[in-house]
Parts: sequence; C-alpha cells; structure tokens
Amino acid sequence: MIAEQGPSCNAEETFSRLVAEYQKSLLHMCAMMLRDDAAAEDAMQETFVKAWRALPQFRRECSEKSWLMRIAMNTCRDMTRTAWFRHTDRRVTPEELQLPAQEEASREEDRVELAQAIMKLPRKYRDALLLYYYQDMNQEEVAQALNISPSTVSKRLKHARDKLRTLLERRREI
Amino acid sequence: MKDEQIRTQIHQAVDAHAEHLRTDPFLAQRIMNQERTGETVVKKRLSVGLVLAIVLMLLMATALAAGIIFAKRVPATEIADQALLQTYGITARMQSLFIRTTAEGEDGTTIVTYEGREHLAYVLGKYTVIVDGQTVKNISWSHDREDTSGGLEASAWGKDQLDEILRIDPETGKQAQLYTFNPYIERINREHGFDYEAYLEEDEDGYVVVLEGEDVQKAKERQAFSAHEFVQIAKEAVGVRYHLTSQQISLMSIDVDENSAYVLLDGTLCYRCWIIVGELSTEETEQDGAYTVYLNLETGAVEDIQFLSERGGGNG
Repeated sequence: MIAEQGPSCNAEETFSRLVAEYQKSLLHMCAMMLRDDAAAEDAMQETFVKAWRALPQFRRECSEKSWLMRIAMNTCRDMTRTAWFRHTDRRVTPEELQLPAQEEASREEDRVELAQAIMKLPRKYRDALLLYYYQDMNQEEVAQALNISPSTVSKRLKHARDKLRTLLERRREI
Repeated sequence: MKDEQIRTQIHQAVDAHAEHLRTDPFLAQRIMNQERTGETVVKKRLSVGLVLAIVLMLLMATALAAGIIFAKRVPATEIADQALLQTYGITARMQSLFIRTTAEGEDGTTIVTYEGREHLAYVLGKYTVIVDGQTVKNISWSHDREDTSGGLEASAWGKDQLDEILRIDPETGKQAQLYTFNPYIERINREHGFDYEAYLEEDEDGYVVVLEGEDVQKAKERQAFSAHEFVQIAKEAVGVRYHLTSQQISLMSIDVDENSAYVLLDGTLCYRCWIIVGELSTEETEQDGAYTVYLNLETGAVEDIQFLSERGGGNG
C-alpha cells in the first residue's frame, strides 16, 4: 500500500519495495535512454529521490509503476536538456557495445544490433517501446506514464516497430 | 513477429547492453537516511570549469602516452571550443563557417578567435575567447549587443540562424547549399557597409602563409621528419585532440602529395597535412570531415589542428 500521509513506516516499506522491485530495470532503461552509464546511475537515483519525496502525495490515480516510470522519463528528459549532457559525446560505437564469448557471438551480435537500433530511435518512439516491451506495461499504463492517449501509444509502438525493422535491415545490408 | 517474441528480444538486448551496471542494495535506506538529514544522495555532475580542466589534463596525458607534443595553442583551442559551445551554442559543425586563429596575449594568455568565413565575416561576426592556462578568462562576440531575433532577416546571425543554414532536410538527408542564403547575406552586408573585396585586401597578412619556390627548398633543409612520419604524428594527434575511436583512426585517409605543403603558421615553419575522417566509413558521424594539421617542421610538435566538418560549411 502507498502511504497517504507524509513518509511513515508504511511509506518506508513501500519505498523499499519499489526500489528493490524496479531499481535494476529502471537503471537499464535509463542507460538506453541516456547512452551514458554515469548519467543513467544519476537518473535512476534521482528518480527514487523524487519518488520518496512525492510518495505522500501519490493518490493512486494511475498505477504505481506508471507513476514511477513517469518520474523516470521526466528525469531523463531533464538530464538531456542540461548543458553538461548536451556537450558530452555519447554516440554509441560498436566498440563500446562489446561482443563477448565466441560461442555466443552470433546471438550476442543480434542483441548488440538491437540495442543500438533502440538507442537510435527518436525519443518518443523509444520511450513507448521501452515502457511497453521492456517494462512490461500495458498500453493504458504506458499512456499514463507518458501523459498521452492509449491510441497515441498504439501508433507510436507501431512506428517504433517499423523504424526498428528498417534500422536493423539497413545495418544488415551494410 | 509476435509481441511476445519482440518483448523477449528487447529484454535480452537491453539487459545485455546494461548488464555491467551495478545496482545498490542499500539505495532505499541511503535515500531515506540522507533525505532526513538533508544530505545529498545523488552524485552531482562536475562543474564546467572542472570539466575543462579535466579535458586539458586528459589531452595532455593521452598525448604524452602517444608521444605527441602539442603546442600551447592546441589545448587552448579545445577549451575555447567548449566555451563557445556552452556560451553561444556554436558546435564543431557550425565552426566550419568560421576561420579560427590563435594569438599569444601579452599576459601569457592564448587568444582564440573565430571569424565568419569570407562573405559571412560581417553577419557571423567574430567570437573571441581568452584562455588563461586551464580556464576561460573572457569570451565575447562582436555582435553581443545586437538583436539576433527575426531569423535570417536579423542583422547578425547567431546559433538560431546557423541551425537554420545547416539544417538537414529529413527527406533528402542533405543540407541546403550555402549560396542559397546569399541574397540575405548580401543585403545585410550592404545595409551595414561591409565590403567583401576591401575586407579581403585588409586580410592579406594571413595566419597561414603557403611557401613557394625557393622558400620550399630552404624549408626542406630544416625538415627533421619524413613526410610519412609527419602523417603518422598528424593521425595520432587528430585522434587525441578530437577523441576519435580506434575504428575512425584506422579508417583515416590522406593524400600526401596532393594536400601537403610547407607553410608559415603565425610565423612558425610548419609541415601541413590534411587528414580525412569518414570517407571510408559506412556510418556518418559528427566528426567526419577534413582535419588540417600543422606540424613544426623542426620539432614535430603539433602547432595547430583545424577541423572542417563534412556536414558543416563545406557545402559551397
């Protein structure tokens, strides 16, 4: 249960559970959105700090996950607007996406290609795609997290899939 | 492909990409404790001043590791480039529309100037960055007091207009030819009494003077490195100064006979060579373009490097 009065014992339990449950997937998602490990760690921590502060005001108008993801999305967006972020080079090179273990190489190469393609997607498509497929949210929850309508989510997912397909095909042609 | 298959593949790709990142088992407790005591839990980003100092130290450290000697103006220009970006939003790509020169100030500072190229000299104006050691002492623009609103109709063009000129058409993937903006430029020049021909004559004592005839023979007598050695130093220097990947460095191209020259750079005898990045690559990057490297003919030190973005001003 989410606490409705200022951070309390109940809130502490809720918050600890949220961190335990979502820390890893949030961190991974931030890494895809920001393409920078240190920035991803900052964004993940900042998300939880904001969540802790906002917990008393959370009224369950949307799901707990949508609420947390909305904070994360806004945090990442704010970070990309800072002067620091804008003039740090964070293009992803194949060298940075290391290819490990020979026996796994082919499958791993596909994963690397897919990760690269996701990071290259325009932000609005990438956000919807990561929330829906990676965070396993339904379209209603994604809509709440992004503050858009479910039909827009549906359209963005379709565009995201199409663009991913194009990006991957282009890479393979090369 | 079904949704579930896509979901599985995306999970695997994202987790594999970020698997080296570590979570913090005590994060919740730390946040709660530190929020109560008012301490900061989130790591704060480094200040820009500190970043610039680190840029300089990294450049010098990497250069030392590679055995390259950079003249003082090289790290100073990197600091100036960063300051120009941060203060005025002028990117490396935009810089291709400027001519960058450096001079030593009387107080030991390095004065880096970026002046609009050719007939853009008035409308783009001149940016001056004074670098003192590892810090920016002052930065200014000759049009600082002018109103730059109104798009291309404005009498001085800053970041917004440069964005417009260099905008890539999403449909064609290309940017407009620079000459298509000439009517605007000519009108602004006319209205402000800027005479391009007269300006060219004033600019006779260039920052770079290409040697010819006998002067070349005399220069060669003082040359301490072979052309091949100069090219190797130049490649490494470009990689270090512009933070290129090993793949980009391996794909650099150069034509020694066509592009090399003996020059005087601000009075220093140099061997000049051009390094091309991106020509042999399959993917475009912001660092693609031509790098002009000036190497001290007698010591091999890197006196200056200038970058002309392929997607910048080199569009006629």
